[in-house]
Amino acid sequence: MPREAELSLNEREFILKALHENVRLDGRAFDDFRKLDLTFGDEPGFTDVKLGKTRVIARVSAEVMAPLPDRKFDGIFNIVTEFSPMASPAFEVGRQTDAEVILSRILEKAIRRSSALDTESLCIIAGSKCFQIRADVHVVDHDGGLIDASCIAVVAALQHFRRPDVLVEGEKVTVLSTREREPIPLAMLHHPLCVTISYYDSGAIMLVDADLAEEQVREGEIIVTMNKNGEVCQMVKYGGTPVDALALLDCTTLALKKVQAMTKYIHQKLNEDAKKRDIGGLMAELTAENER
Amino acid sequence: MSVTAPVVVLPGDEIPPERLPQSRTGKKALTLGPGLRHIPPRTIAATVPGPLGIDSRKNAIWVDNTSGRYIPRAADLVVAQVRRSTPEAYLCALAPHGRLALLPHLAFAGATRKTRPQLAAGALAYARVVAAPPAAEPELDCGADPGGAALGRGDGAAGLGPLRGGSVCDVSLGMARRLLAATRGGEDGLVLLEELGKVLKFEVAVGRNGRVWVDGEDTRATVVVGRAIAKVDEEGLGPEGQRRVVRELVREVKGEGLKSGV
Amino acid sequence: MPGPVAELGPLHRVDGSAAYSHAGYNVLGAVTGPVEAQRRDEIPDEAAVDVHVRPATGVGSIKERHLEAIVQSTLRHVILVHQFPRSLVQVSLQVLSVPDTSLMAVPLSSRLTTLALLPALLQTAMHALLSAALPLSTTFTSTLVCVTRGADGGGAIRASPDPECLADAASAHAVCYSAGGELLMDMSEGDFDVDEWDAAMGVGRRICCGEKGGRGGDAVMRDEESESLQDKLRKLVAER
Repeated sequence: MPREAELSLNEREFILKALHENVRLDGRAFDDFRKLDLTFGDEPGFTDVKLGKTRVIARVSAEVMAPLPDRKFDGIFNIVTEFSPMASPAFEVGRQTDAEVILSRILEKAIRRSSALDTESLCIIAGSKCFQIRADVHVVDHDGGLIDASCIAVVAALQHFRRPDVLVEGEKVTVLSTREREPIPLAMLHHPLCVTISYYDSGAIMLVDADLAEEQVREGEIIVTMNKNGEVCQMVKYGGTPVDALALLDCTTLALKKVQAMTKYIHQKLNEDAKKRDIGGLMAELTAENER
Repeated sequence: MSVTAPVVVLPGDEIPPERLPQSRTGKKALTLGPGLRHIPPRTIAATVPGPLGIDSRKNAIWVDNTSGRYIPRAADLVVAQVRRSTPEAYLCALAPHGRLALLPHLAFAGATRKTRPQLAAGALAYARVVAAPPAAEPELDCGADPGGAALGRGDGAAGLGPLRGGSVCDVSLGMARRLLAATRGGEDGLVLLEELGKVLKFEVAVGRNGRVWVDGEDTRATVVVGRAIAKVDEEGLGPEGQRRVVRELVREVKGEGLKSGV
Repeated sequence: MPGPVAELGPLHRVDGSAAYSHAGYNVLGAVTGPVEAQRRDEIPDEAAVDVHVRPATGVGSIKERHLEAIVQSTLRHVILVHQFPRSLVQVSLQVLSVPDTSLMAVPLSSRLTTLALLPALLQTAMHALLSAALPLSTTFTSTLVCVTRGADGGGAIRASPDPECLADAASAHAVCYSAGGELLMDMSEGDFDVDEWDAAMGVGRRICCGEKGGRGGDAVMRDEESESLQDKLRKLVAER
């Protein structure tokens, strides 16, 4: 089952016709996201993101490792994405699809290469010990917008995660359990988020957060990654028909608005979760870390 | 017995003999519908979960399953999607990634080698399943078969053939069955199409395979009908809920129409 | 300890799905099928059953392949594969979380963690199959039982043990019973004799199928207090 089931001609024509009449099939405006729902698990670093019918689960975990020989002062940070037949029968086990390669490349550039995570803070003893932070992205339900949803999941999971504290005595490193010492949040420099804009009619129609059917009939997509301060981390357009350069500027303004709204939502959810965990205000007393 | 709440069975449950419909005349043989199997000599067991359905008049018993993948059965009406064409037949998908079904080029009403409809890949057709052997491709028919009407549906070849324009929405198998029953005038608590018909003009073709083709008088009508069907299906709404969905959607679209009209 | 919680049909793209959580194990299961099998997987007279297990962190390894093989052979005998020749039934199981064992003094052996995960996987698979309404010959339920030995050598049997209890146990048994009370699968680990095994099977069977161990013709009139896994399954389907 190597291919995604194709849309019928009737659906293709109808979606395009409706878009020309300013109508989206699910009744959203062109610049509306689907309903975003973010929940955290019991353990730190577990996030479950639902964007309409799309669902992505991210898990962050930490391990003590030797740093890479050419980067002695940095910790290691990996993002692992793998599609399973659970998300869509079109995904085959052990065979990468184009969508999977693109998703992992985009996440890599958006979060890792934009230095969202301060890897220097993960170093324990230069050249011999550091933390390896690993983010596993499980796509469990695929109805379009995977890049946006995965990015939200990873960024939220990184903020939610707490790594164990360590005790360094000379060359000896002891990892302290959560009972012995309050675990520490990861040091993040900024919170980049992706907004995928699908276009039709050479950029005359621009859609935010297209669902799977809309993705299947689009002429191309522009992916903008930025943080809430409006700093653009990446802008990607993998082929597709040409668009006007000025339209790209509109994309960034649109993306900024969306990124700010999403950042606010993630922050609010994180606060709600922190309140739930913080029984009797004990956390505030124990924590030694300052908000960055 | 039919008055009490239906018994829900799980796969492997044996149906006790006293539950089987008792034909008064004893003339009709017992008919086992989908979801049941006969283990010789006398055991009848369920194979799918769901409420047990019994029709004493037809001396039939079956299990209503509302979810899962469509499994083709002879005499079902389906919305088929053409994948590709062979010299003799179109290969059509009934469900995504399922086994392709054969729709012979000459299986359309009045079709000859020269006049047969030309269907491109991705085109839709409303067809009837003629045969569904388990190990081979199911075979479809669009009304050329004179025996079609004899399959007992009473609708003959009416409505079968290529579907042009409009759009398709995917629903659960249970919803498809309810919609089909409603279009035939059966009472199943489904007033949705009737209610929509009071405010909008549209055509539907309901496929037993969980695909519903909708074509409205304009784009908005198609969208409203599609969304209403999907919503009623997802939330499992009763008659009251269905009326509310229709009211809400129609109001929403009227509002939008005004906005874009200004 | 809270009983298992299951949800049918949380996913949209597949034919059937289930979310199952019990005692710290959270598993998401999906079933697609019967679909067209690839030529190389095709079996002429029955459906091929393909099981795929994915761990919560990292990529699958030998442990997952081992679990896949056990789940696959259990499912293959329950699904009516002969009704769908030349097709494929695909079962995907995604482990979301397992109980946190990092605080334990002695970490569990990898054999024990494998064994402890098995009942959750089988339970999830069964729920997903019911959600997909795939024709089955019977339903099954699965649970974990362990035998702990006191200082005097007397054994006590614990059902659904937590990781600490599991680490202390002399032996652990993952069992799977059909609705009719027949043993479908047993995976035992550790040091035990025939009497202990027999007793453990008895407890497992009672948890799975209830006191009577058999099946009544209808779902009514059951002892509500000692609700077996089988009763829970029935209730969940009836609610839908």
